[in-house]
Amino acid sequence: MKRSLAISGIAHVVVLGWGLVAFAARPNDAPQAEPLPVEFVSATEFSQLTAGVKNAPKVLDDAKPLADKVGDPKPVKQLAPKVADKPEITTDSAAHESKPESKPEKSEKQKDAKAKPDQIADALKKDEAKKPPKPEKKPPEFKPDQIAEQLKRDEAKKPPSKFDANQVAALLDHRDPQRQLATAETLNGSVNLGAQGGHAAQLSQSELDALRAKLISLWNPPPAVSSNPDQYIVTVHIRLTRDHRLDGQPEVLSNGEGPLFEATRGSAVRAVLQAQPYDMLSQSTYDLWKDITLTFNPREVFGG
Amino acid sequence: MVDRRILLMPQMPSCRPTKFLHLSRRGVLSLGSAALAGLIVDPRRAAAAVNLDITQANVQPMPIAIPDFLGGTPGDNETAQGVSQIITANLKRSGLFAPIDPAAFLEKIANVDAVPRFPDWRTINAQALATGRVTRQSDGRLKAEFRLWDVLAGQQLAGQQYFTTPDNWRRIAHIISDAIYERLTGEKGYFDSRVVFIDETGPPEHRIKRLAIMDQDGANVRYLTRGDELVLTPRFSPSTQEITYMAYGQGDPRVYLLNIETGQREIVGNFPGMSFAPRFSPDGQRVVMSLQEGSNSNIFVMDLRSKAMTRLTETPAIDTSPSYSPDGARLCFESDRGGHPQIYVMAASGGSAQRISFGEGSYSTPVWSPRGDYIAFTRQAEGKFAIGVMKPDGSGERILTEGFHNEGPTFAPNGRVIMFFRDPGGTAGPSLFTIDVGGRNEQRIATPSFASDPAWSPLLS
Repeated sequence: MKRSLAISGIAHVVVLGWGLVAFAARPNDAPQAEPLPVEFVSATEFSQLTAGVKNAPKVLDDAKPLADKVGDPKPVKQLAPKVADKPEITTDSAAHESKPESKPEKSEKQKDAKAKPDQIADALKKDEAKKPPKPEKKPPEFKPDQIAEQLKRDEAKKPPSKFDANQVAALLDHRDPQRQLATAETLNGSVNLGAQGGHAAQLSQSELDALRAKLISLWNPPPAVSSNPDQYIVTVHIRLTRDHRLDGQPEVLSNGEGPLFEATRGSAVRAVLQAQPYDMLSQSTYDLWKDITLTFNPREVFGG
Repeated sequence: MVDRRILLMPQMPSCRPTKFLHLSRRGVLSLGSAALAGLIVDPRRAAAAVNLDITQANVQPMPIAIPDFLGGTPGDNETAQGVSQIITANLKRSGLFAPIDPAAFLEKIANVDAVPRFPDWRTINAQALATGRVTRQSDGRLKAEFRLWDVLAGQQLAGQQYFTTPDNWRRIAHIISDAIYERLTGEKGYFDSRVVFIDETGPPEHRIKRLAIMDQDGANVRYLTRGDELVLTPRFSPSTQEITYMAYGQGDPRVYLLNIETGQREIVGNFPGMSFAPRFSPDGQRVVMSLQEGSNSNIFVMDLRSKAMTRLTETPAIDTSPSYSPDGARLCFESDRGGHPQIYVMAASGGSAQRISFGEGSYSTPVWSPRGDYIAFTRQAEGKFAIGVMKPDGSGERILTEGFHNEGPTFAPNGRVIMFFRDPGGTAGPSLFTIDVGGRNEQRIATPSFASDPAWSPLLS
């Protein structure tokens, strides 16, 4: 009885243990995409960053009244000689009829002064004497000092500015970064942005684009590969020194035979040799570009 | 006859003295630990490597420097310079190379057996450098040698010596051109080849047509017939120094065979009615042609040894211009069985044919590329004659050139270049042109007078 119980118990344990292992839900491992460093900025923050502030002190200090010249009164004397050249008018009625409407008001008044005095002219003269000696239709005199003083007064009433464009540095977050790197004997030079692989750091897209563009401009594969391009894909491994030059000869990793493969391989190696110095790569990321593997694929070169 | 030997690369000046290592036990241990460290570090290094795919390129003629070849003796200088000039002209005409102006050269090559100063050639943006020497031997033969250098890698790519009779110096230049072309493009060259064509002289109403042959660059023109009969459609044998062509003598047009070395001529068969549009099979043992049958014509093949004739088509239509695929298994030809002349493909033994051309207008003079990848044709549509190519299944048709009158395409031995003739109309006559299968690099071939109906030979060597 005890024996069969033990056998049954062991059998149950084995079956259950096997079931746990065999039917365990396996994690659905999606291929880990390498993350790109991104920073989020909300629409409000973006608006605040780009919005201008009207009472920014420096702008007001440098501001000059733009209306200075617009407000200058024109000298009245300039019109007088032209009017004086005209013949004298002897009759009142004739003087009124011959007066051109398009003439400036000022010249009319001067003519009136030389004609016989009448009551209307006298009244006009009196009114004129009261007014400042400038044409009525000219823009009113602009007094920039008054505006500036008014603005200064307004400014004094307002609370001090919340945003000073000259003190952006003060707004930066000076707290120490809290992110901890994984412990290891040597620190990982690559920044792990959440990828399990831990090799997420890359050259910037502009560096890669510049490197690719330079190699494209120098790669001149033989036209005969167009008939069967997949057979003529050449992979080249290069090591670079810190001064952006090749460290040793390029190492061709692809294998192939025949004169056309030889010619294609030669074209890839020539492109790599000619691309020196690789000065599109920045010194700060040297650890990332000291080893580069380049795959020259002619499939799309000849209209694929 | 040209003998050939390989030239090895001259000894490179050693850049670094060889170092011998004294290894102590401690040294061995430290080396071992370094290797172990390397093994440990390597995966991380591999993980940090940048992988970049280059899927676009800048396809353009390759800059190449070809300094004048040296003469072994002062009397050989003229021949040596002639050889380098022919090489320069050949490579330039191919459209795949851009020879650099000698005025820009910084180094004067004084010794073909010394390693050139590569930085000097890199400075002028040369990617390849060809140097050579021509020497008349004591036995009267000419020795020509050349070396091809990869300027960027600082290595010799090819080196050859050739021995031949002095009157063969132009062929030597063509053979060296082919060697350079093949090493740098990966394809066989086509410079050591000839072209047979119809030389035309006299006014249009009394045009004298003679069979002529020349080097592919237009040099060494020789006349094979006297001009007392009308000759048409000459075609080279792929394996022998023979030509087949059609001639109007007295009576009906006939197909002839002509040995260009001996001048011996024979008629191919004796048939009632016309025989025309002959072409050799790839093995040179058979000639396929059209025979007139009433108002129609059909395609027949004749075994040149047994003279046995075999019918390949039997239709109430005009079947003509047959051309073999390079493996000899299929034939393309022109037929108007569908109403208009179109291109058809069938087995070399005859049987049912499959139409492959479906564009507007009529298609004629199909010719299969020696590479087997294209069929070239003449297309007539909307009053214009165009030269084009399509794949043997009829796909990928493209027109290479179009105009008043373009006709008679023939492939270079490597299948990359097509020669044809163009007649501008009016009082002018036809002349020969080449264009590559991509439709680029159209060039006129200089001939002594008007020229038509070219046929390119296979490589001579």
